[in-house]
Amino acid sequence: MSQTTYKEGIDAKTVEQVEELGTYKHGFTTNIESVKAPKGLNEDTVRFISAKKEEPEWLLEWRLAAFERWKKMEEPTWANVSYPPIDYQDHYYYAEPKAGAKYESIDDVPEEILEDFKKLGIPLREAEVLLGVEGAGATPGDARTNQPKVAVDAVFDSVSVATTFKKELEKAGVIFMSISEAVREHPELVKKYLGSVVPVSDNFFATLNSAVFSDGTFVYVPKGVRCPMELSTYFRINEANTGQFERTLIVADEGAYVSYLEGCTAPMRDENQLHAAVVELVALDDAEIKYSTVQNWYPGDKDGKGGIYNFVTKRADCRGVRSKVSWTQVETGSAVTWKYPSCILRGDDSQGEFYSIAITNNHQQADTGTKMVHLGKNTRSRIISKGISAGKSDQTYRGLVSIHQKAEGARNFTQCDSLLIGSNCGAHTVPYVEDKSNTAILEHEATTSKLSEEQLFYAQSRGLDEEEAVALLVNGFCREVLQELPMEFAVEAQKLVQVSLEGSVG
Amino acid sequence: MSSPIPLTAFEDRLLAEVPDTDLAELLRSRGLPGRRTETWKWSDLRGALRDVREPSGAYASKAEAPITLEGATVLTLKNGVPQAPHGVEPKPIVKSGEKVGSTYVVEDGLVVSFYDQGRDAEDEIGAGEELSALAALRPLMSISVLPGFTHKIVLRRLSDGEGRHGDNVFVTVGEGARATLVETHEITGSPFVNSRTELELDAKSVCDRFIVQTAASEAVLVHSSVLRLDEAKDGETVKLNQMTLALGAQLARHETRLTHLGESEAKIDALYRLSDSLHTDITSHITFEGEDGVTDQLVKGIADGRSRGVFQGKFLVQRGAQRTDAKMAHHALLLSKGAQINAKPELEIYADDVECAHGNTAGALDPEALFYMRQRGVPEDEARSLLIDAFGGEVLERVKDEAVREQLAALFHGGAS
Repeated sequence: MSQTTYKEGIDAKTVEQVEELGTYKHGFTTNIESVKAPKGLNEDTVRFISAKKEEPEWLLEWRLAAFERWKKMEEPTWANVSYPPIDYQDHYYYAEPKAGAKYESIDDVPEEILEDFKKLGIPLREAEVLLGVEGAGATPGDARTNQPKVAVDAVFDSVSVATTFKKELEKAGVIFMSISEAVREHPELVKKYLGSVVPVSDNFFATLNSAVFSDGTFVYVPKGVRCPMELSTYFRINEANTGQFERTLIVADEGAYVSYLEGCTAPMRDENQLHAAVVELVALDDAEIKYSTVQNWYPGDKDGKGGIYNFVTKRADCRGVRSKVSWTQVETGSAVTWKYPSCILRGDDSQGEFYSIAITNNHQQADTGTKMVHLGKNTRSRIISKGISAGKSDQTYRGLVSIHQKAEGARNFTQCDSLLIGSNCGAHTVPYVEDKSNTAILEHEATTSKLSEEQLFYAQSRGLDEEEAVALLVNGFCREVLQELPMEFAVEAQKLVQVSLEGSVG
Repeated sequence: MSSPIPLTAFEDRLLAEVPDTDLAELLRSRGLPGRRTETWKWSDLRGALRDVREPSGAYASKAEAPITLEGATVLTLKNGVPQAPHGVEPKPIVKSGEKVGSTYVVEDGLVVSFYDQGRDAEDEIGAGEELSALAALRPLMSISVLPGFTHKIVLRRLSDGEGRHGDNVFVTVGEGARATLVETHEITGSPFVNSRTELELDAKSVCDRFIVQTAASEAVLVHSSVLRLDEAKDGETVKLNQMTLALGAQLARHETRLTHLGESEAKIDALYRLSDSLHTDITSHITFEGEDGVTDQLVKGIADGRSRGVFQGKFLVQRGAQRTDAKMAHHALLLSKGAQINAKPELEIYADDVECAHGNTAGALDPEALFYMRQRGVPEDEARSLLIDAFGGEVLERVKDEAVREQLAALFHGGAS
């Protein structure tokens, strides 16, 4: 039976449950016809995507330039992850549901898609939201209902299928649309900011994304506007062998505020699917962006077969004085994760935050963390990372805190805690600290431990079963991060923590 | 890996002297470790060694020992060449009818041997370990404290000139033996010194090890230590207390690779103090191979002027190394604009029943404490000096031997120049 060896106190039932793990409740496939680009990647693929999206010449040039660079780049190997070589010619780089992306209202959305959303549950809670859409259309600011107000831009494979709450947002002056639409409707904004945080040639995966990005979200919050609701994008990879390359660009103008939620799932498939997204955030003077992610891509089965390769570049540029960006992530999915949401603290008194929970189980591998680059005076950053490894998984926190000479009075606090569940997993911490300012204060602490047997025993003696007890303790372990999530996500994230660890515990 | 890089003239020169092994292959394809090597990114050895250096000539300077130890046996290496112990007759070491070295019974239970050759440290060749492997090729000096004996040894490494040299020292502390080992690096001039100490602590042994490197503003020094701690026997554990005091060089790296084979205890402390444009790199890589290993590490550093301090610490807890208890702390003070501190406290853990923690801080002298002292009439210079001594004092206090502690404190204090 199981090769896994567990410490004393873990009973056979738990071990059995570990064996059963790998049932992924989002592993369904929706059968809608889709239009795909021919398999493989060459200049024609790039042109095909650009033409399909009726893009202006400058964007095609931009993509082609990225593709030229990409051909000369090497895939990075420094992360603590291993996977068989990816054949970039064996992927489809574009797929859109054939029904098209031209839904005027929710009623036009094919039933399969709606059904699909229903099955998802996390984090969309589509039933409520979709109900909310109708209500919102009629009476904007319908604040008395109990339904949470979340505007949703759903990315289904490569094309954004439904955008809700658009009217109310428009009223506030907030632009919230798919990036393809934004290219058509607000080319000046897109042109100004696209690639300004993550340059075309930034890294292998970001460059690939620049060449073939299919769709994504664009948000612009004008001066002094506090976005009236949480914005949400829902990513989902449906088509087999389709790389998903979304591109998100969020700009908060002076004094603006926006909170953005991103949730991701993908159906269960045997082969690995590639996902290389780029997210760029720009915060101008006094602006604040809060970006929350719940990533629950298919992690592969219990033997490590299938699953998503999640190679994501996320970076925020705190360009303005007193600007602030806060990244919060709950990472429970993907076979391989390679992701470092970062902040460039350029403006004086700007602030960056990174709150992360990463859970790996079975054969999952995650190499994730953040970079805080302090350029401006009195810049502050805070990093709280909680990693939980179980099964045969491996997890690495990799982070950089860099204080440049001009960053007088900069301040960083970093805390990385790892929890190991079972004796066949690994938890690693690789923080880099570079300090060139004699007025900065940097603190970093990290711990690695197991669940306290005393606490487990205590919780069980109070009537919780082992699984509930573990979930309780793990949620306690993650508390500092969970409380940073917007209300809509927090409850689900807690449940997700529990689901991800199902049966793996000890 | 990526295609080979063009080698410098010095690298070509070094390669000509290296036997055709994996090490040669590694050097040929990657050159000396430097900025592009992950484990050397903040200590650009390659960049510091661009010019060809010829092997060093005879040592011609005079140096006064920075630290003395009462009742100790003093052994000396001059520009890498081991000096015969005074007043002891050598006995030849013969292997297959050929003399391969000489051995000296220095005292009861203390044997020193010189071998004409080193060895191919194949097991230690990985990216970043080239220097240690290069030093292992040099003629070996072996120091053995025999089982059950207690000895104090001062090993002075004297270097001068502008050439290059290195050494290869192997120390064994036998079962139940106790050793105090002081190793110094006393460098004048601008040589490139590549030293290596291999230290094996057998069951039930105890070793206090001190490494003292005085400032050498133009020298390049790499000192690799490879340590193995045996597992416990009869309920008694091996204990190692290591303390490094480093006062900087043009580039200086003190690297410790330690393996806990099982239940054993280690303190791997270090204190560095840098001024002007000096550099010091304190790197440690502690592997927990067996169960119940304990490491407690405290490293502190002070960077003034335009100096650069580097700390890289890694704990590797292997699968099955349960009940490992490992703590790592690095704290640094930056005293001036232009000084830098780079740190990478790393954990790599494959066992679940462990307690591992690290902490890392960097900052300036506490302005409030300074203000308080000045308010009480203490001049600023003195107040700063007091605070710095207190900062370093935390590491020094962990040295049990009072005489050694006082000498280290004086050196640390004097490092302010």
